[in-house]
Amino acid sequence: MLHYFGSRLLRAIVSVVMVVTFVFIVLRLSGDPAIVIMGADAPPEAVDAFRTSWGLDQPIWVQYLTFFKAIFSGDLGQSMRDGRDVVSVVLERVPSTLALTVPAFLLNVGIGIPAGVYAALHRNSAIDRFVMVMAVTGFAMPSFILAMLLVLVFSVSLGWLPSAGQDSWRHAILPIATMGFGGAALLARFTRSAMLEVLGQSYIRTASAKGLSWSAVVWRHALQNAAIPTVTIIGFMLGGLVAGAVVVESVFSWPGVGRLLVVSVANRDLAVVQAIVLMIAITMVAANLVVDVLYGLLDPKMQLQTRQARG
Amino acid sequence: MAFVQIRDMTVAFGTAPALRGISLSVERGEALGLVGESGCGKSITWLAALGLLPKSAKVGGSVRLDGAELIGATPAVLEPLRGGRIAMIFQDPASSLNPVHRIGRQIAEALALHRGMKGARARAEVIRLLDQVGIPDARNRLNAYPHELSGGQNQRVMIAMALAGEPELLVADEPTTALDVTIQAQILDLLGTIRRDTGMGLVLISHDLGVVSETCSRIAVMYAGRIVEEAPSDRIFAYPSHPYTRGLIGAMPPISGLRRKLVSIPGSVPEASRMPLGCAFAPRCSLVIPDCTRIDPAAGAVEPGHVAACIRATPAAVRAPIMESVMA
Repeated sequence: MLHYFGSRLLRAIVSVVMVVTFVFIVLRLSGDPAIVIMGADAPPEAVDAFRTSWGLDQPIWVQYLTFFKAIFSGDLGQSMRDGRDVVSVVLERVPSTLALTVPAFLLNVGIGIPAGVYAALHRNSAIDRFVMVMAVTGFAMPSFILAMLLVLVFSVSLGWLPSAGQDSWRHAILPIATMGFGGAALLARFTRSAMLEVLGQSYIRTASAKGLSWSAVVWRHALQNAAIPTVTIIGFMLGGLVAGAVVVESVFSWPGVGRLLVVSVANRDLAVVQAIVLMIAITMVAANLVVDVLYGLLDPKMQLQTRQARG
Repeated sequence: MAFVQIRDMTVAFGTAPALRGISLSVERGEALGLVGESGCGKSITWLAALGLLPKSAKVGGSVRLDGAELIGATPAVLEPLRGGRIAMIFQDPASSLNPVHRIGRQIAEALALHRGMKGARARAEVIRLLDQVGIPDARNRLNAYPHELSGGQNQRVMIAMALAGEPELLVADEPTTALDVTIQAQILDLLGTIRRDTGMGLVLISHDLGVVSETCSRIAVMYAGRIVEEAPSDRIFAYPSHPYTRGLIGAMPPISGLRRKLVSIPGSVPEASRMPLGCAFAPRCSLVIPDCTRIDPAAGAVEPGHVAACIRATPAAVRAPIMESVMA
């Protein structure tokens, strides 16, 4: 087991390093922070002084090595805008993002899985068709369009809910609904097909032939098997939660990590962008590790493989 | 009265008929073989009888178990029967067992359902059943998952699970088809032993006439959703009356005696949606006469206990020349 997770962890670290490296290079090739932050008409001496103070006059590989050395001593740098430590700049935004993403994720799972299971159990019924139409719609529609539609209906036409800001819990409803619906649609589709696949298996017929009631067949024999592929999708969704907040937070002017990322990219606030990307990469990788653990619990064949890998 | 009495059973998926009127009875404790090519409706007959077909299947006719009607019966009536009075095992044991549950748990589930056994008593009974079906080291093996066992062992587990409900009849649907030849014989022996020990009836579904003839006292031959011939096993080999049965026998390699060329039946089974008028076997039959394509033959007695659905299957008159032409 240790060996199995050791190798997974190593792979995870390599992925994180690759992502961070890529972002480091692209950010530095795509615009000069000195000019963006100091302004185009700042005196050249001031711009040069800014470059020197942030080390931007060094060759890119020197900057890169300095950056990595700092990471390992726990220093992710300072924001170029206000000189504060980036860790606190990013961390103070995390609660706002979690306030959207956690309820949205609960909606994804709480609506998506039951809807998918129900649709599979009542295949070709009116409700199945309704669920599938909703799922395809939610799957195909980019989140910013859904966000605009919700604003149009609930803020502009009906005037029920605010369209931007973070002043009360009512401000969170539309962004949560936007993220919740899209993810639920995706999950409903995958759960339905996983469930249909399982219901067609021979062991389901065996369970019925044994004399189990249909509900016992579904609960005891179908769901755990259908959970195995579904967990993969949930893992992807869990990993993408912060990344997914980027668009929604921007549309609804929600002051979370996602919006901070967009603003920091526009400002070329390099250290902040790097810190956020590092955080997103780590959440994705951590979600994948969680999926691997869940696999081991759900699928006895995985346990065998880990035993063999260890042995 | 027969233990199970199937009368004029029909099954259709959409507009395609899968069973076109089956009548069959199984006596208590009897071993009946059901033979035919894949797709002829052997399995569907028993899945339909136990209400195990998907809702899209339209089932007609009558199936009586000890006189009680099963077709159209509610789940509350059918569930205790399934596994409790009639158990079923299937072709591919590896995929017929739930891959995420330990085999002991899967057997214990049947014990809880049909015999109300729980906990240590159930565990002891699971061990006894695994012993009975010849799984070595049953005490530890009950913690195994299906993928940790071989195909033959999984089929033994399936049989143990079927025995858990102490059924009066076991329907074994191609139980040896997915197994190695050496294992096939072991499983058939096991079924025979269990029958001797428990007096349980057996319906052995197979495409292999040889497998069935060793185990069963009576054989029903199915073709394209109908029973075309039914007789005691020895009689069906000595005096096959339907040309299709003769074709099946002709296609079997002889165990002893002179080697001969195996004869295959030309053509293939007609599609359910494009059944020919008259006899369904007529397009492949070497003995076809004009009437065969006009008259859909009903099952008629060749002799007492021997039924065939062929307009040419009258005793003596046509038997001799037919034998020559098929076996030549």
